[in-house]
Amino acid sequence: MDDLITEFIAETREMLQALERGLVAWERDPGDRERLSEIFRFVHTVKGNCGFFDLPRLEALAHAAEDALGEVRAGKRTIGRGLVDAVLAVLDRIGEMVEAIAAGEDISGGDDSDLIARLAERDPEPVAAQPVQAPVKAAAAREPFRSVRLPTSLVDRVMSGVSDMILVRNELERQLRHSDGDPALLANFGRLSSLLSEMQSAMARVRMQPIGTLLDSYQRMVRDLAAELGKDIVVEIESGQVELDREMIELLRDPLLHVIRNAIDHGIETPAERQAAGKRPQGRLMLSARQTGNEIRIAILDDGRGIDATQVVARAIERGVVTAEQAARMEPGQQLMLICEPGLSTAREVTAISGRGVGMDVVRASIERIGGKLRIASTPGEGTRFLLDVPLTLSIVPAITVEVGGQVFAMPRSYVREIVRNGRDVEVDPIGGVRHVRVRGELYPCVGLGAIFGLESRSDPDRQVLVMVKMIDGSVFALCIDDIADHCDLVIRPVAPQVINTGLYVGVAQLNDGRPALMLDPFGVSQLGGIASDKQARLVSEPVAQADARDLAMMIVFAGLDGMRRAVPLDSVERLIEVPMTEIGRGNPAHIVFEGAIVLLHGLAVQPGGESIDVLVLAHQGRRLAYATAGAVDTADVDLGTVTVETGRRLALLDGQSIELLELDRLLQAQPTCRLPGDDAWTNAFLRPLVESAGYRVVDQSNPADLEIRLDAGRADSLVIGDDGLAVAKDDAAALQAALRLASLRRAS
Amino acid sequence: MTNDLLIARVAGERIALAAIEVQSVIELGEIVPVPLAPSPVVGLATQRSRTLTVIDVALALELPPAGASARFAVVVELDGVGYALAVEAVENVIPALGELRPAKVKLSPGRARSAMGMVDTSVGTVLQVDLTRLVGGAEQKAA
Repeated sequence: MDDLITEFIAETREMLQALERGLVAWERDPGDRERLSEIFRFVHTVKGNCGFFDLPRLEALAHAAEDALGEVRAGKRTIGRGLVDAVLAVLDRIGEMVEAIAAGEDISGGDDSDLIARLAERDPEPVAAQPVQAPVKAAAAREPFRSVRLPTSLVDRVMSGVSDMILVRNELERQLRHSDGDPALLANFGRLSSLLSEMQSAMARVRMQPIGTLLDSYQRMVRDLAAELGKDIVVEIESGQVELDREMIELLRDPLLHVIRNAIDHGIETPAERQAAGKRPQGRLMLSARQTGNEIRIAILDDGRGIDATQVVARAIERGVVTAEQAARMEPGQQLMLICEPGLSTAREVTAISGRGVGMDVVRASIERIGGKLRIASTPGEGTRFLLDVPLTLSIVPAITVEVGGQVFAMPRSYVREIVRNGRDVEVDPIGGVRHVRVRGELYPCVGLGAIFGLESRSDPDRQVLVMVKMIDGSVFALCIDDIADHCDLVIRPVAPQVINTGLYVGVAQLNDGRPALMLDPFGVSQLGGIASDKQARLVSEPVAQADARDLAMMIVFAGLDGMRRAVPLDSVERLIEVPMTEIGRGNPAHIVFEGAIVLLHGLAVQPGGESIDVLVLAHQGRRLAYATAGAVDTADVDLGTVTVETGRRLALLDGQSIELLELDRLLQAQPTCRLPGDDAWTNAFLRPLVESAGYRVVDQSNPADLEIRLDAGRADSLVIGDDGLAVAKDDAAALQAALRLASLRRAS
Repeated sequence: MTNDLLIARVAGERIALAAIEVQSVIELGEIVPVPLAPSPVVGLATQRSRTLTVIDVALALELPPAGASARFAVVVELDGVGYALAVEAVENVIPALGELRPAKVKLSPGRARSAMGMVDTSVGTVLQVDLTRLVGGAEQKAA
């Protein structure tokens, strides 16, 4: 019985949550029959379940709501404001009672006759001009959502089981590499290995939840708050398929709530004020979430009165947060960020809703604590945008691992601005007892990780590596280490409180070889290294403001075979591989075989010497291409502000030299195109992947293509590939592949 | 009602831990040091994909540190964090032969902080230690 009650509570909560969005839409358009049915079904289900569990209070309430809605459905009653409010109140009451049951409280004592009476009241006049009528088009049948509920402990156990398997796999892989393995064994191992990887990524998704659920949950709050403040606000939510770590969603709930409350309370004006300002009376609030790489950008936009930066600055000066000179040097974005300083608010009146400036500092702190960033943009009179960039998950962190004194530590990649080899271009000056380094003319404090940790550096001082660490406040320091070990995504696990309390570590990760590596806390490390962190510096440090103004992009920089330095965005690089010259397929462009698919190889204008070359495998818009390099591959921040287009090439400045930015779009254009015989399921599921893995880009029927695949006019079960009329049986994948390869070779020669 | 005890040897002495709190006993492999971690934390070790914080039990009891002679570790979990309690040897798991009683002799401060009391067993009277106090030793000292 207990299990059943738990199930009932969970189910009712879920249904209530799912209804939230529908309710507000229904209120706007009470004639929406589909929504009405949805609400009707909900109260009906609740009524049924209550009878079963002997919860007479809930049952009576659900029964009354069902009766009233049933009459509306049958056309015997029109919907008015009063009924809408009454139904919403009933749903709220049901929610409260369910929570009370969940908490083990006795609910039999309450009285709901007030609500039942409200449901029975007839509205004097209908809200909708026309009576409720059947929708023009039949409501789309909802796909039933099938799910199971699992205890999180079980999910965690399965996840750690998968991690264990991955470790064993890595160990096995090392052993196999050292033995002359039997090819059949290796092939099976390869399969096992890829299955495990698939499983690992599937498990990672188990922890994910669509962010839409979170955003939808604010709908009701916006409605109630707007009503209370006499404002008319329509909410638009756009979350696509963005998913976030469950834990992250919970951590975002309160900060987002606060920002949204602020937007409603201080941002959006009342209808009268809006009309006076020449705006639509109805305010707009837009919540959106989008994924970019490993980050999610959440935007909260309103078209309200905006934030007046001059007012914010005046208040900040008055409160002594900044001086007038400091404020004058700040950029508009920085000035607006002053509202996140403790004790600052520009709201002219204190309201019960968002209080006085309490909160924005907390909001910023909460966002930064989870590794995110908050930015504010506003145009007075037109509206405000709050942008939150947060990492996809708390637990998987893109990192670099560094070596010092034979020990490996990890560091979040988000903190790494660049990596500098300690050589000719770096001078070392001691200033005020702290070692400083001069990198490209700028002076940075330097912390030797080995020195502060008491680890003996194993490399020659001239060959040490500097990691330029950029802190959240924008200041940069150099961390001196022996070498960079790797770039990798690490699963960060909590570590003992005694270790965390040192302030130097945020957690521990396990490396591929199974050894643990501590994840450094850059803030703690810089403090231990004697680098002062100054709050004033955070607000106004001018050089930082300039650095921020530069539009920096993390790029992979390499030398082309022709000697020209080129760069490509880091996130489009998939792999750097060594390819023997004998395995490069000739043609224009040439190609290589990568993971069983043909990938076009660019950058071969000059014939390389030697037996093999280093090739960058790039991914762009879901497609792959390769670029030949003459080695010297490194990462650097390229200032996109310096980009110019000269003789059809995009050039940027890096360290005072020009560098060519690869235009992946254009390179992809060089890929041969192919037209498929149709658009049916077989073509899309079977033929298309074959064609794409043979290096073709599929174009639609209206475009000209390098290769055309047609159905054989004579025989329904075969295809004709290319103009030469090579006919192949439809279901013979091997023959199709061979024919496609032949067609590529012909084209090349 | 049986009250099983795990008997371990630390700096030549026998100590007892409640067996029910022990997850497993492992042979210690490589210990990765944690720079600047407070005593008695001596580093990190792994048990499959799990990372354990290694506590030198001798240090925690303020006895001469075991160092490399601690080849075994008793794996326990406190507040979701796994610890490997490094000891010289794990002797046995045996039932307690009586109730836990306060120590009659004056214990050294290090022992006294973690001790729950003395307990009789088939191998003699042994000092039983409390896990939370043993592991959190450094924190309590700092407080």
